[in-house]
Amino acid sequence: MSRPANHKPAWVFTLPSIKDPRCMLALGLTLWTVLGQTTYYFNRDSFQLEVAVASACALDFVITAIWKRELAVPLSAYITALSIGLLVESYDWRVYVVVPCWAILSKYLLRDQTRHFFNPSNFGIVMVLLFGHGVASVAPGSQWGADYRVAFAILCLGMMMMTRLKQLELALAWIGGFVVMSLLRMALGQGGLVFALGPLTGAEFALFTFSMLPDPKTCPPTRRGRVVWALSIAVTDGVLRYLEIRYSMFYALFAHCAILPGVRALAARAGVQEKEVWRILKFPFGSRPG
Amino acid sequence: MNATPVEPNESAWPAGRRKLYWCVALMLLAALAALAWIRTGMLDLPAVPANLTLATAGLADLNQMKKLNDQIWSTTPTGQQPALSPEALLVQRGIGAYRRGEAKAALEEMRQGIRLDPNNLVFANAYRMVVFAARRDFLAAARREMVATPKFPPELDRQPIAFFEELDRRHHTRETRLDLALAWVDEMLLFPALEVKAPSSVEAVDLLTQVIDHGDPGYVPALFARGLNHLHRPARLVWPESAKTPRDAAAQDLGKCVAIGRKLHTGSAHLHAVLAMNLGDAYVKAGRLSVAHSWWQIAQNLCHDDDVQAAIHRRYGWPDDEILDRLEAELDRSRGELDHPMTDLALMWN
Repeated sequence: MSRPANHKPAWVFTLPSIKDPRCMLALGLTLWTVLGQTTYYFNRDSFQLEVAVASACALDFVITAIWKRELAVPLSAYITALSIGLLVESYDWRVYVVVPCWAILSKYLLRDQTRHFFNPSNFGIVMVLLFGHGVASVAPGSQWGADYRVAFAILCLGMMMMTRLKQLELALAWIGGFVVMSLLRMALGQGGLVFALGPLTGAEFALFTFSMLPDPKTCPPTRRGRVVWALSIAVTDGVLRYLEIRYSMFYALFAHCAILPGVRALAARAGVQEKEVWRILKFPFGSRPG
Repeated sequence: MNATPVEPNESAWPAGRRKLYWCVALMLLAALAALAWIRTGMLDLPAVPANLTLATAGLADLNQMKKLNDQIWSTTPTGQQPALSPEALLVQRGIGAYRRGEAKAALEEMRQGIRLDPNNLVFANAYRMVVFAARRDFLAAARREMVATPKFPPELDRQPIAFFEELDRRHHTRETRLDLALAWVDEMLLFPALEVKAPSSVEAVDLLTQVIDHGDPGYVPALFARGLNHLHRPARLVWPESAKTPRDAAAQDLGKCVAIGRKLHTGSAHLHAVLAMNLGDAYVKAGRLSVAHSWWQIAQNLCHDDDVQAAIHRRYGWPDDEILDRLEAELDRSRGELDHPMTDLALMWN
C-alpha cells in the first residue's frame, strides 16, 4: 500500500544487519557470559545479569520509540548491559537497574553536535564507582579461574574479533602501551611482573579491551587517531596505576571520552568525515501526516 | 556524514628509516624489561637464603605434625590408637583431663610431656590452646557474674607465659622462644586493652626478632608471627614502636614467608592462601593498594574454601578511602575470635 506524498511512515522497525559489527560483539559477549557462568570462575549472579539486560534494553527501546519513532532491536543496550553485568559487583540488585539506566541515558543526554561521546557502559561504571558510596565495585579480574591458557585463548579470540571489526590497531596499541607502562612501573619499583602484567590475563581487562575500548562511536575516526588514542589511554592508565588508583582503565577511558568532542572537532577541521558504522535494516510501516 | 574517512598518508617515513626506528624501539623495550626484571622480579618478594632447607625454615615433617596433632586431640580411647611416645601420651592425657574438667592435673601432665620434648611445637601449641580456652572461659564466667577484677586460679595465673619462660631458661632454642612469643600474643588476645596489648606485642616482637636476627633468618613460624604482630598494630597509633618500625615491616616478614613457601613447595593451599591474604593486608598498611589487591586475588585463586573466598570478597568491597579503617575493623574482629585464636599454629600443618 503506497503512502500519500505528504505522509511519513508512522513507525520504522529497525534491525541490525548480519554485517553489523555489533552482532559479532554481542555474540562474543554472550558466549563469554555462558562460558563464564558454566565452566569458568565468573561467580556472577544470573538474576543480576538478567536485571541489567532487561533494564537497559527496555529503556533503550522506549527512548528510541518515543524520540525517533523507531521500534529498534536494542542490540547496543544488550552489549552495554552485559558488560555492566559482568564487570560491576554489588550485593544490591538495584545497582543492576540504576547503572544500565545511567549508561543508556548518557547516550541520549550527553551528546555533541553529532552523537554521544561517552562509552555507555564505561560511563555507568565510572558513575557508580564515583557516586555509589561503595555500594558497587568492579569485579576482580581473577575470573577464568586464573588459568593463563584460557586467558591466552581469550586474547587470541579477541584479536580475531578486533580484526573483523577493523579495530585491531586500537587493541594492539592499547595492549602494547599497557605492557610498556607496566614495565616502566616495575622499573620504578612498583610490584613484580605478575602484578604488573597480571591484569592482562583477567576478564576485566579483556572486557575493557574487546568490548568497551573499540566502540567505534566513541573513538577517533582515523587509524592513526585510534592508535594515538589507545596509547594515550594506556599512559593515563599507567600513571593512575602508579598513583595506586583503582579502576584506572575505566577512569582513563572516561577522561578521554570527555575530550572526544574536541578531538572530533579537530578531525572535522582537518577534513576527516565520519561514516555510520552500524549496518541497520529499516522497515517503515504505517503513515502519518508529514 | 556518510563519506569515507579521509586517512592521512600513513607511511610518510622511508622504509629504511622506519626499520631503524622499530629496531631502536625494540632495543629500548628490551632494556626497560631487563631493568624492570632486575628491580622487582616476578612477585617483588624478599630474597630467600640459597641454603635454606625445610628444617631450617621450620617446615619439615608437616604431615607428621598433623598426624601427631590429630592423635593427641583425638577422643578415641588410647587402646584403639597407634602407639604414642611417652611425651605424647602425657600431653594427650592432659588434654583428656582438661576435657573432664580437671584443669590443674591436665596442665601439669601437659607440662611434663613438653619438658620431655621441649622443641615439639605440636605439644607446646596444644598447651597454649588449652590454657587459652581455660582462661577465656574463666574470664567469660567472671563477666557473667559481673566480677570487676577477676583473679585467675593458681594453675592459670601467669600461664602459659610463666611455663614457657621457665622452659626457655632451661632449654634455650628457637622453638621455645617462639612458644614464649606466642604466649605473649595470647595474652594480647585475651586482654585487648591497649595497656596490655601494647607491651605484650612489644615483648612478642622482641623475642621473635631475637630468633630471626640471631641465626634463623628463614624460620617461617617466627617470621609469620612477627609479620602478624606488625600487621595487627593499629596503623594510626603514635607510640615509640611506630617510630622505629618501618611501614612495610609486616609486608617484609609475610612476603618472606610467601617466598620461602614458594621456594620449598610446602604447606597446604589453604595456608598459602591465608599467607597471600595476610600479605595483601600488610600491603594495605604499607599504602600499596594495587599490590594488596593483587595478593588478595592470588589468595582467591589459590584456595576455593568458603572462609577464604568470603574473606576476600569482603576485602574487595572496601572502598579505597575507607580501606585502612575497614582492614583494622576486620583485624579487630579476627583477634576477637576467641573460639579459634589466631595464634593456633595448627594452621601450619592442617
